[in-house]
Amino acid sequence: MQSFFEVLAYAIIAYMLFSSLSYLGFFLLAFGKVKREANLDRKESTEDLLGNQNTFPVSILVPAYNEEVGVTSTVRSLLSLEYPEKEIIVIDDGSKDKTSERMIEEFQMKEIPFAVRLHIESAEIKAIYQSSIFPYIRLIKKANGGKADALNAGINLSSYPYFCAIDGDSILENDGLLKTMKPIIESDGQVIVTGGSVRIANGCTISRSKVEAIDLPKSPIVLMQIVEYFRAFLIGRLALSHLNVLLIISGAFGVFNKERVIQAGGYNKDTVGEDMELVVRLHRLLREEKSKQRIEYIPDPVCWTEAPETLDVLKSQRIRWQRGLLETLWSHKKMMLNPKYGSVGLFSMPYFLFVELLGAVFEFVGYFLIIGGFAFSLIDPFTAGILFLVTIFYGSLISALAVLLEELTLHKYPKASHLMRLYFWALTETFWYRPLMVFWRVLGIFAAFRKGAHWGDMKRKGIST
Amino acid sequence: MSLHFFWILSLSLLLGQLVLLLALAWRKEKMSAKEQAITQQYEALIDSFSSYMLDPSDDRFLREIQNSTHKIVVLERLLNGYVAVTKGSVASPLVTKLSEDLLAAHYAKQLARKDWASRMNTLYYIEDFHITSLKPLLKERIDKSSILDQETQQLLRTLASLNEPATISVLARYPDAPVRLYTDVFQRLEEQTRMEELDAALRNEIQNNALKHAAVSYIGRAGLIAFLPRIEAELKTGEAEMRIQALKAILHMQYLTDPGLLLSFLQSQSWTERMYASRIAGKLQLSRFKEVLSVLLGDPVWWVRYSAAEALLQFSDGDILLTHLSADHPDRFARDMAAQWKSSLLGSET
Amino acid sequence: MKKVLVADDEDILRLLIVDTLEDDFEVEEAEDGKEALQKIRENDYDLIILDYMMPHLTGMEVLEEVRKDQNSTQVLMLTAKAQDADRESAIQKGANYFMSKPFSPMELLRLVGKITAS
Repeated sequence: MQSFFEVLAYAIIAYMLFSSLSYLGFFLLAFGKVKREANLDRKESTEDLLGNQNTFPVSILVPAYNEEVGVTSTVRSLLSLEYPEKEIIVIDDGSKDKTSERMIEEFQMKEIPFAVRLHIESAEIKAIYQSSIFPYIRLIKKANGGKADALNAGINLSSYPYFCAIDGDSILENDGLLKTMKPIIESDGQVIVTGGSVRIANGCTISRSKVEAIDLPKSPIVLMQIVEYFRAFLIGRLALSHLNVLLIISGAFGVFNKERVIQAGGYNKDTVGEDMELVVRLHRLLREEKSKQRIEYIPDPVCWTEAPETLDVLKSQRIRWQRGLLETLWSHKKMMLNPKYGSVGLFSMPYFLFVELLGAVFEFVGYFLIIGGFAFSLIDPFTAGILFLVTIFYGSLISALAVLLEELTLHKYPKASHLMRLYFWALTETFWYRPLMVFWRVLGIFAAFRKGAHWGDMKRKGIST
Repeated sequence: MSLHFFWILSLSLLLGQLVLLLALAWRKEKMSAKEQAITQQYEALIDSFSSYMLDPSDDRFLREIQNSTHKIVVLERLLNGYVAVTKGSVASPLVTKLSEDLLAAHYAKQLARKDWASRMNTLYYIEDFHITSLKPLLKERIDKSSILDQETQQLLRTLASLNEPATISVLARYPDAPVRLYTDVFQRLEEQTRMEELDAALRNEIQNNALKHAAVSYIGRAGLIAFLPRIEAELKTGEAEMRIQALKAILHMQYLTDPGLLLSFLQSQSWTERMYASRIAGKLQLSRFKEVLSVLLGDPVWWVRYSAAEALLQFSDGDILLTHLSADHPDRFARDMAAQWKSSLLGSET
Repeated sequence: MKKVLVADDEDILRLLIVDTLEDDFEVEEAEDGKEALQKIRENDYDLIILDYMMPHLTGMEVLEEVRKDQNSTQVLMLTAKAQDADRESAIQKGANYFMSKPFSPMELLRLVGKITAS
């Protein structure tokens, strides 16, 4: 029996070393590009697009469920976005509070007769309003159907060829939309989806839905999430985008080509990871059509989001992400290791399965063996020692490195003390934060299996958690 | 592998990281001190700058900028702010004078630097401040370029903004140059140069199809109706890609002298041609094609069905037509597509 | 001398406007919407020049407040291209004149001269 655990321990050591090395490899792939572009004059590189008449108009969809507190300020901040042609569509997904009333009052909205094309099915639409101050702001009042359903209704009503979705708790930078659209515009529409990375707004000074001063939050839970974002974005996603095999990141900001999304059937109502599932479906569509179109990712952050501050909320977020990932991989299992789907099938799907999904299981077993080894001689203490060090290496040292690499390339936090704090918190990751995440991610996998049994009645609570 | 080995490995990695951390923290302190100094000088100079730009006889600014320790960056910011908010500033003799006197020599050096971002920024600024004296240097660089990377692309845009017609022939060397880039270049050239270059591209004496496609596409987007007869002539060419570009241009211009030309495209073997022809028929509301469009609603290709439905809706009775087709079309896909586009009119009773 | 308030958060533009108008008008400045509103409530101006987008309070919001106060001073709005679509609504809110950025300082001087003369 001991030799079984012994072998298991070495397998996990090998897994962690291999993952660490591939992280580093990924980063090297992307390093040149990020480093090079970090010093580019932000304004200059988008200035040209702003005055250009050929920029593609964009519909901004704002799904809202019980958001009476924040909905109007979200819309106000969208008004000031630098973008030549845009419309804003707020979708009240059957809120029980005064979400619609707030909108109607603030923007002097009037009910209008409006033809909705039923490109994608959605729950019943009750009324459509238009602002008499800003005619390009509209509001859809509909029966509750969940976020995916709300977005589908928004797509049906939208009149422009591209759309993006933004949550009530996210703040777009002024030039965020322009920067995200840039790859689409420059490729003449060959890029059909772009994703921009997200930054955590906690700790920053926010005034009237704009980030005015950048600072770090006090709470270690949020600090660790910042480190996590660094790690994921800098090391993983960038390189994946480089290879055009990016799936998508839960909660990131993305712009989509509307016709393609309609062709793919819109957002899937039966998964909690609707944005990721949609991107995978679009990848699948492109490969099946042998299209040259592609999906791209921009490293420069364009959007701020409020990260969970309490363990409870963080826990449910992680369980949801993990469930969404599993559901997505499951419903597209046909693509896994299938050469027909090119590098997405051969590379990205396995990466998401083994690193993003099952990685948690391996790490969980690793922690179990370390404790078992030291406390109950489950494995040779020597092996346990090596496993322990490799776990620290995989958790803390790689995360700390991510902090340094962020500073080397994008350096988005203004003070040296910010860098110090992030670095030293990153070093503590293996000892408290990572075990927690690993445990929740494993719970997420179980949750997905349990829910899988009664797929049909997976009624979503709404948009906000 | 021994435990020892892992200990040493981990500790040396940690040490290495700590050294890097200190170096980065030190760099950060230095950078923010510099940034502060620049902001201070900028704020100190902004007043005399604006006076000078309105009345050059008040030349306090010229003396003050010479004393600035970050004169280049500060001037760049001031000029950038100025050209962004004032019209006709490209031709402003003061912007020219300041940038030629104080920035041109520096930019010539910047362009030779190894750092990619500074070269790119320099190219942006040369365009913004219209520094004509650097034109020969830029031409020399573009002649040496061999791949169409981001830098070469910006080099082309900058040169085009200085009205250099050779940019088109340089661009034509790259057969897979994006149309977007041609558009950018055509747009920046002065009108007369632009028209001459478009005319030459359409005549296509140098047998460069990529250039010709780009020209057709630009004409469509810019809506240059004067070229319409020549675009229509291209509909009859044997080259497939050219026909598609011409259809796209017509869709953009929303104009067609002889709608009869469209019929063969609606019945073409190529689905792309069927799709564009459907879109044109809808945009121009060519009701004689209603029936063909109804047939195309059952096309095997999704894009054609989608475009046909969209086109049918452009007609005044489009909604009734689609309602009818969603029930009675012999093809199931056609019925689905019609239902998808059929509208449910909300709130019209109230 | 007629009294003009210039409210714009972009330093260079504000200073350019101030310098342009200074010789013919008594000019005061505000760096954001809040400051602008405060000055408008404390002083009597012949013309208010408001930038459309400013921190704290946007030009539109300042305009709304000004009209709520029953103040009918002429208002000239400075808009960027991206905001041209909002002109209609700005007129409804009570804006009297517009100028699209970028503009030349002389253009502005002419328009301001015309407005204040009538």
